[in-house]
Amino acid sequence: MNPVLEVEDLCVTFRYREGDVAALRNVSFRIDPSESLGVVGESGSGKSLACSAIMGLLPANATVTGSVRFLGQELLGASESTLRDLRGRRLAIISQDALTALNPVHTVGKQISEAIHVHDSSRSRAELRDRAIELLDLVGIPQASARVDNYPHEFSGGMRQRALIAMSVANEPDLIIADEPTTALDVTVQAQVLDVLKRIQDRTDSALMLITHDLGVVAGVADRVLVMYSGSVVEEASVDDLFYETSHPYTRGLLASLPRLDARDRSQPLYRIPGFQPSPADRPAGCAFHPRCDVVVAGLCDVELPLSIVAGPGHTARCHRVAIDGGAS
Amino acid sequence: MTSVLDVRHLVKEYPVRSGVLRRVTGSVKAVNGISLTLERGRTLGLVGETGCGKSTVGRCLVGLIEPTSGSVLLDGVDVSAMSGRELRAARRRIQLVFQDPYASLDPRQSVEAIVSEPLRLHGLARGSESARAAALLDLVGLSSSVLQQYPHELSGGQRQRVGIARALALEPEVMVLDEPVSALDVSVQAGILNLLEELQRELNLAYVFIAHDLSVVRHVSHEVAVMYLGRIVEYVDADTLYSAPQHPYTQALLSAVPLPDPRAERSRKRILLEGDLPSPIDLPTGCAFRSRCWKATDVCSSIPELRTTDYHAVACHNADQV
Repeated sequence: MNPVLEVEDLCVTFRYREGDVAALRNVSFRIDPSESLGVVGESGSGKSLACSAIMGLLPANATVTGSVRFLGQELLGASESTLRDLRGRRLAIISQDALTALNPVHTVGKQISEAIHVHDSSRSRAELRDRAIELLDLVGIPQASARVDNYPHEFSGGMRQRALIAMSVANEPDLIIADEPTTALDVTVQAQVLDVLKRIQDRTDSALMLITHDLGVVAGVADRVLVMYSGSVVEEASVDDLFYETSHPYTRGLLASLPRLDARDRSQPLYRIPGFQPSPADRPAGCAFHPRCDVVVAGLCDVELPLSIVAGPGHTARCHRVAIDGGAS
Repeated sequence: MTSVLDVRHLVKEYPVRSGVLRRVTGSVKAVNGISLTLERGRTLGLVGETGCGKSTVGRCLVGLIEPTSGSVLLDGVDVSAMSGRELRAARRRIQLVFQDPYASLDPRQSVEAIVSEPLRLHGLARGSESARAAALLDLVGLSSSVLQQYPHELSGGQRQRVGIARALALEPEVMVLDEPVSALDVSVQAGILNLLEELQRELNLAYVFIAHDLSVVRHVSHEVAVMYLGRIVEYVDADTLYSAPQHPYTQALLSAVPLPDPRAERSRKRILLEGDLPSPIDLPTGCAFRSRCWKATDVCSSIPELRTTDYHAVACHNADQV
């Protein structure tokens, strides 16, 4: 099966007067057709940056190296017109803040129509409007034929996010990149939006790259998961392996630090990963996680950058300890 | 009477203005008759979604907002009837920790100035403010080396610790924690939650813990009150709330929380609520939840009272019978 997206050794370096900062380091992964890939990490781990790099939306002081192949086509260094043709048609993005992503002076229907019209000017205005209504209906907006003429401010937060999903899937893209699509929403609305996202994905057979900080959302949506820490992918696994056969000490720490709704014993304090994530400008030598790690190997982890070690089928972790213990968690 | 904090029939109304002359044309009840009680050393979780009035309750408790009616009692004494010196002394006993550690600390004050400001305002620890500030920082797990630093030099977790130290400066008995960890990453959040538990044990503090994250609330709370559009819909001890919720809204809320457990997520039946939160200006008549409730019947056109059976309070005509 040919992957929809294949990212290899993606590095992003920002140039500042004080020197270069390697914000993203050798990120590699692939997404197969109709697959859901979750990307988790805390703020500053580089998960949103990876998304911007794939979309070609980085500022001028960023240098990108490596390779991003979308349906076999190289995106890094591709012309702006090639990218413009792909974005919104075969490659769609759903951002976190639906209010700023929508234009306040145009109706929701017009904005959805425009997303179609830009890539396919053969349709008449009436056809575009019908398609916009159909899409709003698909994402569960009640009375879509009336709501199509509303402005974004007349929609609630959850409805805006659904309108944004409608817009992003208007051209039946091969890949939807959703960057924290439910972070600003209340939990009952989040459940509605995630449900819509899953239904749409089933229907259009799109692949999904879901960027989130919420391990619960990942558990419910993703087939496979990347865990990012300080600009690198530290663990990659199927969603079950990630939660039940956790390899990387950072992932283990994250899971242990979560307060659980389904907890049996609440008298125990939560695990706390000591210290905090280093800024990309002053990462420690060796493994970036070693100063916080509870299974650190002195003389190795603080010296040598760990490689991606196979911990099981389709399961890798960047950790010296995994190499030593043979992947047992 | 052992309860340190008692809230009785708290109401906060805001005027609704419209037209060119901004005439008052109606009112919104952000908080609509809420009663709570809290004992020393205990945590009361106050949960609900955006706009349910939970933060307004918090602000009424510490006196940042004047309630329209109802009373707040500290050790049985009504704070709203106090004035002058008496009120100042009462305010010391109940302190607030804000959500956003980035916005709630003055960027131009050093940590020492921030933490000792309440002491100066109340004329406490005169001459030994810095020593007190250092002791407070030690209490929240920060070294005294941050005393001379400014908020921008600190991480989010460190800032929230400074906010907690400031609230502790006046040795309060009750702390109102308004979304204290929602701006923090999970690994940092765990440290703050553990710290709050330690402080509670050591100082016998009572917490009102306001949050939208039900997993966090379950972890910290002894009792939980669930709010929907200004009213409490369910109020019970935390274990019962999570194991046997009775109000349909609580049930929907709990079922919507994503669990970090893929197998559980796959086998789970989710209650998906229809529609959105109604506008507080234009509430449905009767039960405010009936526009989204799948159990709604004709009786729901009258407002359900919060009825208590076996310490479990529910405001629903069609609540599950235990």
